[in-house]
Amino acid sequence: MASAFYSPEPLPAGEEWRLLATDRFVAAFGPDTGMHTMATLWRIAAEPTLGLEALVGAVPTKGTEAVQSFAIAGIGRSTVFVVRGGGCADVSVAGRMRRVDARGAMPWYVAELNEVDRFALGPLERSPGDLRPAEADMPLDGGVVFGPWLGWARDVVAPPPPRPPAPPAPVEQSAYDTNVLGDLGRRAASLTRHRTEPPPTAPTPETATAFRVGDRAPERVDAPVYVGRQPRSPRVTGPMLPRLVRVDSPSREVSATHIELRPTPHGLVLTDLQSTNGTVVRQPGSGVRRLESGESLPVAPGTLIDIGDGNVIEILAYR
Amino acid sequence: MTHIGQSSPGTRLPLPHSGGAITLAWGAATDVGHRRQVNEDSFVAEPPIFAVADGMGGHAAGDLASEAVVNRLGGVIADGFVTPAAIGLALAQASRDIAQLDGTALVGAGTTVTGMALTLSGDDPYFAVFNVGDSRVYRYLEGEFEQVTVDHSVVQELVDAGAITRRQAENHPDSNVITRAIGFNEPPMPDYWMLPVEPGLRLLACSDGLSKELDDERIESLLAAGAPAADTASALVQAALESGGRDNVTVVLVDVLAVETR
Repeated sequence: MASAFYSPEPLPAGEEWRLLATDRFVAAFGPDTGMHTMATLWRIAAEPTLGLEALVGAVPTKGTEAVQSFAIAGIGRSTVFVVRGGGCADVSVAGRMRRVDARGAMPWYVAELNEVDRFALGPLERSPGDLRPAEADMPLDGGVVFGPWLGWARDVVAPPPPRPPAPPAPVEQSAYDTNVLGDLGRRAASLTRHRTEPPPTAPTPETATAFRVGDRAPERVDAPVYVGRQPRSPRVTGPMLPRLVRVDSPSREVSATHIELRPTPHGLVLTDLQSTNGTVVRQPGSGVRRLESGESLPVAPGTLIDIGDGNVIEILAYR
Repeated sequence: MTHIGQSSPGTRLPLPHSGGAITLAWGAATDVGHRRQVNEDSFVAEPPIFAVADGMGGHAAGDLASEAVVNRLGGVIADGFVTPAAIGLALAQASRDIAQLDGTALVGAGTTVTGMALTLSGDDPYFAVFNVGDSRVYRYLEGEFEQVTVDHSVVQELVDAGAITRRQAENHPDSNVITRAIGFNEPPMPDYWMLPVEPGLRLLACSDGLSKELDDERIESLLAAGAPAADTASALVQAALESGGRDNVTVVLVDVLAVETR
């Protein structure tokens, strides 16, 4: 389970960074970032149809609301870091540390890294440490908090079992405890809703699936997948870019773009994309059936999909 | 008019992981046309980015807007293959640059952009075709010709809604009104299409100075003639000028000469 974490240690006013986390974005904005700006950024970050470009594009870079320093990470197949001014990202890539900073690039600097295990976002003055969550650090599943930096790790140990409900905490709150800004409380609630009722294209952990073509390595389905002899994608707007999977078909039984596998909140849906020779599906417990051209079918882990010329796609549970 | 890159009769580009390679040829051509004073189109033609931008706005602001886009896309050139995320961020940066242009606050400045970027899906080479506005990408392969991009224009929306026919669209009075652009203080919203890099594939990116002067049959016949990329690009621009040349006209053409797998 990947997640974000931060240090709740109090800081003098004017030195706190604004830290934002959703399941797709992790971001730290400099102390000059206004509440109104944070509210806008949160709204964009929590909107599943908007991507990293929209989030970065919404950060004011001139005028009185200008944000001089930030570090934003978009979490996906690779991790894209966008940094500006005095913001930086310390990143562990396949076990090696590197720092991504803007070095004056305007309006920001972009780096895309693969195999990112952990990273921390914050001010340039910060020394990176080993990027592992410390005992006193707090997890941040989603929301906006204040703090010195924001960390993220691909494999955070599972959270401890919930404690028995504590007696209501005394109302006395220091300014530093305020971890949801202004009217963002409602938005935080809406994010929680997003998490239990995700958008159509984002699989929940329970329904997350993977596919394996022949003896290739399994791949998680986190965007629509197109399989064929020479597959192409239809028009796509927004952040969920498709995966194209090419298979060999010496006798051309497989069509150029033969099937689509689309993740939905209720599981994976297979569609035969008007293939010439159809698709044969073997589902656990319900035998074999043939999908006619253009037909769709929900598919569960254990399903085998035969698209011809010995190309079999197996649906797996993702773990 | 800003242009980045030079035409090439054949350049071999190694694939990063699989040990294969692709060989591309490309060419570009542009002309101010017969009616306009300034060429506000810009292009970039250098792997991994091939794109055309058609600037809009008074007082040469359109020229600066299309320049901003190709400069930001040109900044992506260093890395052999790109991701669509890198394109989106370059467009977002360009959008910022345009917002900061002197003197455009009152008149507004913006640009279309369309083109193709070399990318990978798994280890396989792909063109990520991207589009904002009413410039277009066409695809030609083995006698098959098609328009890949869908215009962001009022007329296209009317066609999609079934209110007018494609034929009526050609002479519609609102044919120059677009619904998405880079600039005008709008966040960029590109559409993407993923097309496999196949031997024999020809992709043409052009400003509407081409597509409004030449119908599909004419564009197809010039692509099908099979002349080298740079010559075909010049021939397309020449044909648009002969047919009226009422707007700036710019084309970038890419040919896939060979695909070597492992």
